[in-house]
Amino acid sequence: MRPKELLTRLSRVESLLSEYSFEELSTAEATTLKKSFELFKQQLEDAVFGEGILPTTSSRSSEAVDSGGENALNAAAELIEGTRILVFEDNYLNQRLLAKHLDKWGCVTFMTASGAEGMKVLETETIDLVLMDLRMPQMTGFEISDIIRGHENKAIRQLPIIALTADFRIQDMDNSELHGMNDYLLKPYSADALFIKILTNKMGLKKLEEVNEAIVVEESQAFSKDSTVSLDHLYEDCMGELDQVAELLHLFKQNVLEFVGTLKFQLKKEDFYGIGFAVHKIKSGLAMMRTDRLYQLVLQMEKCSKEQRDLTQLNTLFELFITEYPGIEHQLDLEFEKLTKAH
Amino acid sequence: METNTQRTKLLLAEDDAMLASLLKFRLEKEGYEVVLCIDGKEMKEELQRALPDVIISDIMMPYFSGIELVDYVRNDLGSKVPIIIISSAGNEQNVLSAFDLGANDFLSKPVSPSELVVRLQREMSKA
Repeated sequence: MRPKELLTRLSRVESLLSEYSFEELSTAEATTLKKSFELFKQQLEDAVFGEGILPTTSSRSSEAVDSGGENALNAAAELIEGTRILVFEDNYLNQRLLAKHLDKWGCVTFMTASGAEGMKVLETETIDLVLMDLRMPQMTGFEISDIIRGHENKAIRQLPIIALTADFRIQDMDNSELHGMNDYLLKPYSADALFIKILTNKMGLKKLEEVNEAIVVEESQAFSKDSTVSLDHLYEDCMGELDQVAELLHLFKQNVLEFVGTLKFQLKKEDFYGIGFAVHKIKSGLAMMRTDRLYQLVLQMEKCSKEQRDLTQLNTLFELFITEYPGIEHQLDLEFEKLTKAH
Repeated sequence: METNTQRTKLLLAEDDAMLASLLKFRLEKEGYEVVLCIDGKEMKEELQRALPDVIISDIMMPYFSGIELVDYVRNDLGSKVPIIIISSAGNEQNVLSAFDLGANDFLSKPVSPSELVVRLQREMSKA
């Protein structure tokens, strides 16, 4: 492969991969995969961007790109080597094309043009992943997917399924419209795109946007569970002295203000240690005020800063915090007014 | 409160302003004399000046941690003054180290002032 062509391919793989979060991998068996994946990503970056600096394509020796690039591609192929793939595809030319790529990557391929035959393969062979052409004779890809998802065998039921289609409407389909298929690949697709789809689905990687959305949903669900704020416990702790409650409320507001200011600055600086310290400091006050919603958010931020995860997630959590806080502060003020009137 | 706690001097080391304010308020209500330090440096200076009757200290503090404090009091100062540690959730390992070094008791955040008062009385009755 010529260096220029190789670089183009590597950049494409790089950009396709950058849409995924592999931080989500947590099971023990994923650890080894994660390690080789990290290595692959490193080699990929080195090959595409050079080591440390950003040279122009022309100034780099073709040998450097060549060896680095080949290394990266070899490391990549190893990640899916031995993956056992069942392909539902009725078009002979497409079958040949797919088989060529899959063989090159060392995958074990089972090819079928019929839903019934494919199901037999699933039941007799160990399969890791399914590629599904949607337009099949007799049974459509959707129908076959329904059968797989309803299968009595759990391993079969949970197989990753990637739809292959030229119908761009698939981009807007939700889970039920996809009949439980995990992902799709729009035709015509490049070999690199196919490779990335197999890799990410085999590893169970999630798209970054999904990961972030999931956090938001999780958070908003947590919020709806408990949205009331009470100062009764503080009133009790302060033995009924409203001045002391007022003092604590004042200190609380000050602490939060300071926290928000500090964090904005440190998120910009990408200072994970500073973020972790600020987050730890605010925890105590949030716990004292029993503002569970904010406390949970801050716990997640603490976890993220410890694991030095991507800043996108920390930023999302912080955004949620500053969106939520004014409402909580208002509720606390109302609570205090209520206390004053009652006593 | 009666006279026997009136002369009891507590050294409270807590860098969180809210918790410090609440605990100081409550302990003074109970009749204790409270000296508040907002970081480890202040606390060490205070200890060099005079030993209190009981020390209550947060574990995570700037300059001088609660662990270092226990070590300093027990080993450098050779004092058996009761030490109650305040720790945040998830700091269990630090609490164990503090106990190993000779801390007497610990409370987890969020701290209930009433619980602290009870534990304090217990430490005082042992002394």
